[in-house]
Amino acid sequence: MRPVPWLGVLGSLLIAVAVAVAVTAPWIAPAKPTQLDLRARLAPPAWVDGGKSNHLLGTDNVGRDVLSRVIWGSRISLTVGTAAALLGMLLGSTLGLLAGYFRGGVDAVISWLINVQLAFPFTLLAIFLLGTVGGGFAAVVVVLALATWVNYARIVRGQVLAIRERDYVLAARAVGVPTGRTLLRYILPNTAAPIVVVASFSTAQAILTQAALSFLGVGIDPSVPSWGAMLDEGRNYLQSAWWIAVFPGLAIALTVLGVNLLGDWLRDWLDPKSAA
Amino acid sequence: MSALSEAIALKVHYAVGAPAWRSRAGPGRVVRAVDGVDLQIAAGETVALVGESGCGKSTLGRALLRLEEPTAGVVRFEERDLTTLSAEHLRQRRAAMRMVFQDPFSSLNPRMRIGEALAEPLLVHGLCNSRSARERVAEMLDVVGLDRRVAARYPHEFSGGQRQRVAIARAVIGNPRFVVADEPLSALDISVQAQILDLFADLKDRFALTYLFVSHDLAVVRHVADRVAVMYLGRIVEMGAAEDVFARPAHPYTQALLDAVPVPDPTRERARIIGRLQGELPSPMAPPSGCRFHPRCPRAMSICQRDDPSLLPVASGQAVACWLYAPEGGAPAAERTPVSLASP
Ligand SMILES: Nc1ncnc2c1ncn2[C@@H]1O[C@H](COP(=O)(O)OP(=O)(O)O)[C@@H](O)[C@H]1O
Ligand SMILES: [Mg+2]
Repeated sequence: MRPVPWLGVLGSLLIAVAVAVAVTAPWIAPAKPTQLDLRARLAPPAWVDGGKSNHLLGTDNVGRDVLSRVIWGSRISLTVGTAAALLGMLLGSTLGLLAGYFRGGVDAVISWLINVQLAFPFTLLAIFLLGTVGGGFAAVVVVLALATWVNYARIVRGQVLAIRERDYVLAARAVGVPTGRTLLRYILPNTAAPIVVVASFSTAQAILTQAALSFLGVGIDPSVPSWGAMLDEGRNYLQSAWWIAVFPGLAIALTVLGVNLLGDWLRDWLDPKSAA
Repeated sequence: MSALSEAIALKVHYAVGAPAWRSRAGPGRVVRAVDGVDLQIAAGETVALVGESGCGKSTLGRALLRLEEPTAGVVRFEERDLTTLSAEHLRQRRAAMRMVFQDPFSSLNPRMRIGEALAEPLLVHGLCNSRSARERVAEMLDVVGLDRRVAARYPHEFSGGQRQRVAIARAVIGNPRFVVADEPLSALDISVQAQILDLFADLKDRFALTYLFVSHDLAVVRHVADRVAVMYLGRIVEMGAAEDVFARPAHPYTQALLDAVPVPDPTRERARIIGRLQGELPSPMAPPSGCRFHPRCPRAMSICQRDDPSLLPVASGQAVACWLYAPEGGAPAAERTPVSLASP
């Protein structure tokens, strides 16, 4: 028996709560996220002097309920974060795998792409792309995947360069295992641990970048509540109405923490040496 | 009788360092790991390949299975030239020719269960479906002396000896005909080496296998080999029936190897060999002129520094590459006088 992975449990719990909130938003949110209460603009949280009992976490500058917006905002942040991280993983891991295994010309082309991506200011690229194709959920996910694939590609390429020299890869060839199967059954599983780690911080990065894009006005329509957009709106009121930015910020922080703890635990769990 | 596995004028050179066009230090250097080898292995025999570490044994073994790209020469298996085969045809030939590696801790995929690893050769060659593969794997585990239940476990749960049993099972499952075993005992505890050696012998009888058995342990070789090939710096310097080579070693290098009484400690044994021979093993990047062994040879003659001897039959039955045995007239008598190696 190995010890209970408490941090992993905590991470799973945080993610589970975030997902549950996103799924049940229409039922648990006290108000519509876009509903204005102009008489209660900038109301503080209920437990602070001047707080209103019908706005538990206060209201923003146009009187929208912060709690309801945090609850609804989880939907965009979680789906965009997850979808972008997965798409980036698929793209980046595949390219990293091919570059590391085949080396030569394939590697030269993919490494060039990686360097171009790293050298190019991402925000500029995002503004350009979203400006030409227009915003919207799918476009934002693709753009965020374009921002994160490099993380996977670099780490997977490096791992594969080392793993392809191991005896068990030569042994696979000696037995007659075809190349595709070697990549999928001998090499990819041995890069799983770093991929999981990159996935956890890339999800966090995607959630935060999505926020920045909303702020720049090229992402998802800012009237659709998302944690990132709320954070940016709240920045102007940090002195006078801290709750507008702090609660979505807290939601992001806890979710990102949950993703990272879960990723850490998953990495250990994926290691056959610890599975005994 | 025709050979099962055959190398003809085989060379395998490795380029080391940066390629010539991007290196400031001039053209990249070349390691002549295998540098002109002819070898025939007949079906059913066990050929032992011996020689000091770094002389090219592993490279030759891998090249016979076409796991290395030959720089020159030909490698054949069952009469077919492996060097001209397409990648897919070569892959299919691998059903019949296999390899056991030296280090059982690195030759098994850490993320594959033993059962999956053993089923792999059966599945990739379409020898059976995954259901009957499970049965074949269980039978093979019996044969190599492991519990059937180990199929569900991962390599890290096993000792070196047990892992080598798994690696051997993987090399012989699906009825291959030829197995190259590259120092399969040297990473194992002395106490399990004998058991693994017995396993090799048992499998050879059971499955009618042909072995190329690479080893630096002459006591082991004496035990298993029908024929012995002695390698020095990328060349075979002596080859013959095991009895002949052990009873009447012809090449001064073989004599030096045999003079080193086996000590149950490879590093000490190696030290003894080196101690008896003069000087260090030269670099395979710059092999000596003439006979490659001449700088260390106690019986070197002037011709040895200049001309490269070829592998020719001698009276005692084996073939030797040494000017001492050159047929009459092969070299002028004056050149056969020993040269002193003490003075430069
Ligand atoms: N992949 C490689 N690249 C460069 N040099 C190599 C490579 N493999 C082996 N060599 C070199 O070739 C020579 C022969 O190596 P090897 O065949 O492993 O010898 P042995 O098995 O007899 O110890 C050594 O000098 C070794 O350093
Ligand atoms: Mg070797």
